[in-house]
Amino acid sequence: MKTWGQLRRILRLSSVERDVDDEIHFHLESRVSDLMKRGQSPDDARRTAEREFGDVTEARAELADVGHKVRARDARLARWEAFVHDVRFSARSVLHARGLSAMVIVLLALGVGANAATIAVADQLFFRQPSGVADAQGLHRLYLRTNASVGHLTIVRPDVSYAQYSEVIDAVGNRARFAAYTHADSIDSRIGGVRSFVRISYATPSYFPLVGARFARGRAFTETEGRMGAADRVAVVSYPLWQSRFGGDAAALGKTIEIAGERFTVIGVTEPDFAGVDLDRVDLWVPVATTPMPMAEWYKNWRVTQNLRMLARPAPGSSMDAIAATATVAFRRGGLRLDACCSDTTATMLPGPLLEALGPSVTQSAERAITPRLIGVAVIVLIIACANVANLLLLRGLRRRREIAVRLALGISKHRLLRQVLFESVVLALAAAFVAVVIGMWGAALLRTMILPTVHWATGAWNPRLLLAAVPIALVTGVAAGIAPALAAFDHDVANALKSASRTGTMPRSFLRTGLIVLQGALSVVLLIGAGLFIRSFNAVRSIDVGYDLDDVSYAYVVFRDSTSHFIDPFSSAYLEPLSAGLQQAAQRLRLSPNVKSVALSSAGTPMSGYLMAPLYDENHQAVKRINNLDPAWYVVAPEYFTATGMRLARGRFYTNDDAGAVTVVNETAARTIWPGEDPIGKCLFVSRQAKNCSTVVGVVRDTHVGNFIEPQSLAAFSPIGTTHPRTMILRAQPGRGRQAMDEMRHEIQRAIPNAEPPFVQSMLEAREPELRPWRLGATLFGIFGVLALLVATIGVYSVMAFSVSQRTRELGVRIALGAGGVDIGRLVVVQAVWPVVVGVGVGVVLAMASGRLIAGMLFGVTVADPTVIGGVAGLLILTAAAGGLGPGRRATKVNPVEALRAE
Amino acid sequence: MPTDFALVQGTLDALILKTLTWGPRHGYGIARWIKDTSNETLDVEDRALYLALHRLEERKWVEAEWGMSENNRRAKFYRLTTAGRRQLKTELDRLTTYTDALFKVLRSTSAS
Repeated sequence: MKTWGQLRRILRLSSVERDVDDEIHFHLESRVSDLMKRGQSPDDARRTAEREFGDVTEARAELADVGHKVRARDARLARWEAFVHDVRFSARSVLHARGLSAMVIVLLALGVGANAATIAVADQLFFRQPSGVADAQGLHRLYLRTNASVGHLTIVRPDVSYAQYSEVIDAVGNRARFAAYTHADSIDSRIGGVRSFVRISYATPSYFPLVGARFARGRAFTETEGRMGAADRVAVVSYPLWQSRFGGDAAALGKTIEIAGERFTVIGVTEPDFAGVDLDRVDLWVPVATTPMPMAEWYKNWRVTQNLRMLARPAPGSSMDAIAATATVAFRRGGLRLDACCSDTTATMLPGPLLEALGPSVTQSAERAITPRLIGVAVIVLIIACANVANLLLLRGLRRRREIAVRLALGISKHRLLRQVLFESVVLALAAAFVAVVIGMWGAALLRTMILPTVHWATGAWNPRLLLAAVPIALVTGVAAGIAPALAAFDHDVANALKSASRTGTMPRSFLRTGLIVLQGALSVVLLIGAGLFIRSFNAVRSIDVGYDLDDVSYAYVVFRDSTSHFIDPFSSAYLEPLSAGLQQAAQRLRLSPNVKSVALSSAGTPMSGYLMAPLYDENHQAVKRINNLDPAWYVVAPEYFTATGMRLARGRFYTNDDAGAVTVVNETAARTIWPGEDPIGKCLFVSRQAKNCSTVVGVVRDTHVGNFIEPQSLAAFSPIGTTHPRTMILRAQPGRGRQAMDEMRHEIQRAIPNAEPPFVQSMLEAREPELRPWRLGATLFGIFGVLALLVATIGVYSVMAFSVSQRTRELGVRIALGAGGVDIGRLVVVQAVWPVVVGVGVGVVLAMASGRLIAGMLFGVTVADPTVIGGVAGLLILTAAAGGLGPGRRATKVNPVEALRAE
Repeated sequence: MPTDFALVQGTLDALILKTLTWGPRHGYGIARWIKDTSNETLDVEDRALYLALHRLEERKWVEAEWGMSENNRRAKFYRLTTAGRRQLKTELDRLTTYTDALFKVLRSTSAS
């Protein structure tokens, strides 16, 4: 082979040299013969000719040199011309088959767009370091892994208490620099007289230097300002907040803003690129020393409130693992100073990267958990789209068999032919990528607002990475889907194809084509079953009996301040007494309203939100053991609370205003835990450590769900409100009068306490909304992708059938000529459309069962093998396939046999 | 025969292109025409002429094709391209300007 290659090269080279030799030879011969005609002797003539010519050897080398250049140039030119021709040919044939091309572009664009959109979101979650942070790779987090004493529940989270943070940094010393901050929380603030919720993070003074945030104006906190109990309250605002609330005015520095009633002075504005190190945006930073805990001194030593996230930058030569080990020792030692109840000697500090999504946290939010699964789902949509495109191109290849055969017979090389097919695929893929970017932009914006509404997005919806994602995906899939059919087309015998192709009435049966329809049917089933399961979970969560009523129940609380609009200590009587009197007065008035059924006052929120945490002691003064790692809940509420919220009585009775002496009502979990197997009624319970008298249990209520609906229960006790000051009003409206009652409640409270802020009024259904969000999110997102898959699969079935009908005109004509009725013909087409889908449904159900565990953790109250979902999806898909075949089927019945036969 | 004149840069190219304005010719034909027309005054080595010819081909000012000569021998024929025709005009303009200037100096009668 090698010698043959060499030989060929020599031959090719020599052809330039031979031409040069021939040309020189011809010249000399001609000259010699001319000179001889003039009478010179042959020898003289040759000498003259050679002298006139010059050095022949040198000339030969020079000319051959130029000749090679010319030849190379010509070859290049020919290749370019062939390329241009092929591109033009491809573009023409794409334009010629307009319907088919449009279909391919739409299918590819949907698949690619869905992927581009999810990739854009995943990119932010998993790959993009927070912007505006210097050397983000060198910045680490410390996570805390704790084991609950009951249930052996392991929890990993990024939060520690201030006391624990201090102990850790003392222990690690100069091996690392540390900072801590709270995850941004929406806090009621007043800036320039405008009240709104602003996302605020409490940070240590070391925070800004450690992350390397740059300032557009002003400065960060000083050590003095950050010290616990500091007198100066200062704030750093983000650039966007500075722009939107201060109009980017340099005079903003030194201005006062109010956060949760406290006044802060603005001292700095960060650069636009910095919005904190979490995914969630921060609008404003204040020193952790100004934490809204009642007393800074108390917060400093308080270990239970773990709300600080630790950041560490190791000194050169120090490893994060060693630092974490030191931190673990410090943490455990600190824990020993506490009651035995709250120390955890198995707690461990774990190092993790700055990007939270890559950290060791096992208590991931549903939003973060759903994103990787969404990518999987988007890939499935893409595969379905590809299967469709491949199918369409296969059919197209069949129609072009004759054209290809003619061109092969005319001597076009397979290589060249393949290149044209490749170009066609590329043209289609690029067009699809263009549409996909538009879809992807729209989709990414949608996903962003749905999955991560509070995230600081470093870029707008237009993300150049979208193009980077869309173009390669479109090219790879488009080319893969295009080349396979082209290769299949070559398999046919040229002569045979010339004779028969595109004239044959019947379509050759193709295992590949049927397989592709089966595949997309199966994958659609998987996605739709996923969507169905999420929707069922959502409904299951929504219909959980939370132990109280949600309909018609609403509540209100008041942010109270005096006329100078100064924040008042919420524990002082100056705060509580007017509030208490006002709420009582408003309650009296509301009870007279025709819209209101009952009104109750509570010193501790609603059944869903807040409660006081209080240890319970049994009649022997023994502390009742906590269960599920939760403190017992203590509700101090008026007797009307039970009827207003619609809590259910399990045993005994609710307490009333007429009860003399200390009484209490407990929940079923408490009754079961404290007095297992005994009748709790009449038992004695000390509620809170300060209680002097034991309270008699008069009733047991059914458990209620607090906060997250699927969290385990805690013990709960209810005590009469007595002389305790109420803070919250709970109102039960007459059925269907909820809105009017809420307006009245707002109005009456404002009338009774005119110098307070307008009260915060919310219905229980609204209050439940955030808890439903993860489930709603899963249902919506999987629903969208399921519908997308169904859409793509339907388009596919429809176009394949339409194409097949148009190819089978002759066969159908013959059938009609032989007496087949319209119904027979229609059925023929529809059945052909449906049966591969039926097979696909079977395969899909098996696939869904097998992959069910991937989402099992995100489901609630439904198993993967849910017969309703499976049955519904199977029916839906088969119906859709039948609908997809119906249009082409109808067209098939309209085939005119005479024309169909004459056309050939 | 010694070279009587060293040809000015580009002049040989112009001569070849001019020769081809009357139609395609082979290399020998071009050489003869230049020598005959100039009565052997413009005598260049044939080798230089061929080199120039091939370079013109490289620059796409002439195209070459193998064909049969008048005495039925295989010969390489050259033909002027459109680009070559344009080049000839440019070259002529340049040479005219050059010679005009040259002669204006050489033939001046007073040293005013």
